[in-house]
Amino acid sequence: MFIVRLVAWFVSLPLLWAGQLASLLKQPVAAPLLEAAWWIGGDGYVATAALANRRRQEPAEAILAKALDWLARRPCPQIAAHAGFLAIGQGDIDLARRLLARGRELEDDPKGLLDLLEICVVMRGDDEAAGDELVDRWASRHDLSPETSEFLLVAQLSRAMSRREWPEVERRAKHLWSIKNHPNAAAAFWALDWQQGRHRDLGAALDKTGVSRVEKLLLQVEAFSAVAATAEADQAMLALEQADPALAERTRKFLQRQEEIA
Amino acid sequence: MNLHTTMLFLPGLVIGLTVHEFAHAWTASLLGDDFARRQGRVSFNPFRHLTPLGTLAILLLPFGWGRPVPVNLYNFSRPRRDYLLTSLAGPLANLLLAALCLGAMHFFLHPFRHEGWQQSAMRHGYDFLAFATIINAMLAVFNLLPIPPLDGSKIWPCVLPHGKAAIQPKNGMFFAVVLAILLCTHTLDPMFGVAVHQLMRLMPLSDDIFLSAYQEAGQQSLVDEQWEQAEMCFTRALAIRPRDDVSLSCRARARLHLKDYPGALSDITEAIAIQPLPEYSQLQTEAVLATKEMPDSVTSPPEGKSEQTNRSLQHR
Repeated sequence: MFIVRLVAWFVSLPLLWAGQLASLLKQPVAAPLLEAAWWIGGDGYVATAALANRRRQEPAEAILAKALDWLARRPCPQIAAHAGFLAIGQGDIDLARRLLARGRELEDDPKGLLDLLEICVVMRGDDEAAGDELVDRWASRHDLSPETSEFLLVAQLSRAMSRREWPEVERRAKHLWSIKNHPNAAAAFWALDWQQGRHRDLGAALDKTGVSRVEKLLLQVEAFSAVAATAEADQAMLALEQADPALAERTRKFLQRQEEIA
Repeated sequence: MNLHTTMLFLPGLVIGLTVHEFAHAWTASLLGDDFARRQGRVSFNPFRHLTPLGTLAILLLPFGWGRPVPVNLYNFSRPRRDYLLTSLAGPLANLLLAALCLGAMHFFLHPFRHEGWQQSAMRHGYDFLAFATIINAMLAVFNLLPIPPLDGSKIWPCVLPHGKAAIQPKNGMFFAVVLAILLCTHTLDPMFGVAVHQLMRLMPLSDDIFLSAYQEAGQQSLVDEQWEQAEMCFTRALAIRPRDDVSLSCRARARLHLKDYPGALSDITEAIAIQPLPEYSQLQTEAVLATKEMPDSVTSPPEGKSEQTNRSLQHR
């Protein structure tokens, strides 16, 4: 069996390299090449690369259907995680949760895609308490992927801001800022300055971090709410509702819950 | 590069790349980031660190690469300091390995004090260690270049004020291609040359190197018909490796010209005993004939000149 797998892996290598090169050059042929490499070699991460390349030409619904089909025919945790992210993108949290459970049943996931899916599922779900519990539970883990850790740190920072735990806000924001110019850290520094009577333009501070419009609105809501600038927070929330109603609703619930806890 | 050189060069490179990547993963783990450990990278197993393409490149191109160790900066308590230490760990591990190889070379300096497979193992061991020393020093120097994706490019942002540990170049592939061009066009060779030259000065020389040098000088003296010089070179070569048919036959030739016929006959007879080659037999015939034509006083001296030379050089 080992010999067969080894031979299959060797055979898949030229296809993998050709697929990676085509992907780099954004050529449509990348997806079939990577798909063939996956079928022969069996590496789940190659399957996710094939799906990501297909996404350039096909709608998300078609890619999700394809991922579910592949998962049924050749189960692996990486495809389950990729399908889970696609399901979250389409707002189907229940499907993402089922895919997460399916992924956990399968073999190990050393790059931590399922961890990232889990935190996304919990954060996007309705159970705020579960989100808080997961953040607390994973805070002591040191084996998470950078993406999951960033997600976790940002969640901790947002929670500390909305609860107005300023020493915690400063500590988390400094940690985040020492790694990169993160918009959440910029918003936190703005809030800390505001607390100390130094009023700066939040929009300008966020623009320096290259943040997207929706994310900027979300951070404005969070930061204005944290410093009790109610009028500005309402105005930002109104703009967020127009840009992304679902996100606005989740943000409102999150802030209400944190207010209650605080 | 021929097969013999490749066989000597490859283990050093594979060990160097493995230790380099292991050092990154192990240091990251020590400083609180277990993401690489989760992926099985805190290991001396080369298969965990080598990539198929990077390994193929080692065989076909003048360079190769290992699988980069994933580092999660969020797990570090002081990201800039800890990322700096993690990035430095790889080149430092290569330097340490080079120093260890340099030290171990001292155990392989006298292969001709052994016989058979042990002698062969000693000679190959010395060559392997010499290659491993050079390759590891080159890996350390090369990785400190501030060009992405090399370690040097990760070190400088952590050292410069207001630098961010996580800054990744947007044109990573462009830099990789530039690096490949620099290596393929041998533009970086002078830099490697300086490093290798400095290292070579620290290397202990084995008897094998002295033997080759004496034999080469002796051969040149034979060509130049400087018979005394040739006889001295081959006597020195034989002091290192007494049972060497090439040195014996060459010294016999030199002694024939110096009219030390008994010495020449003794040398060539010993050479034939070691390796019965036709040209040795011809030389032996010449030596026998020359000995027979000599007056008795010359054929049996109380103590031949050749014996004196042998003893004095071996004593030295």
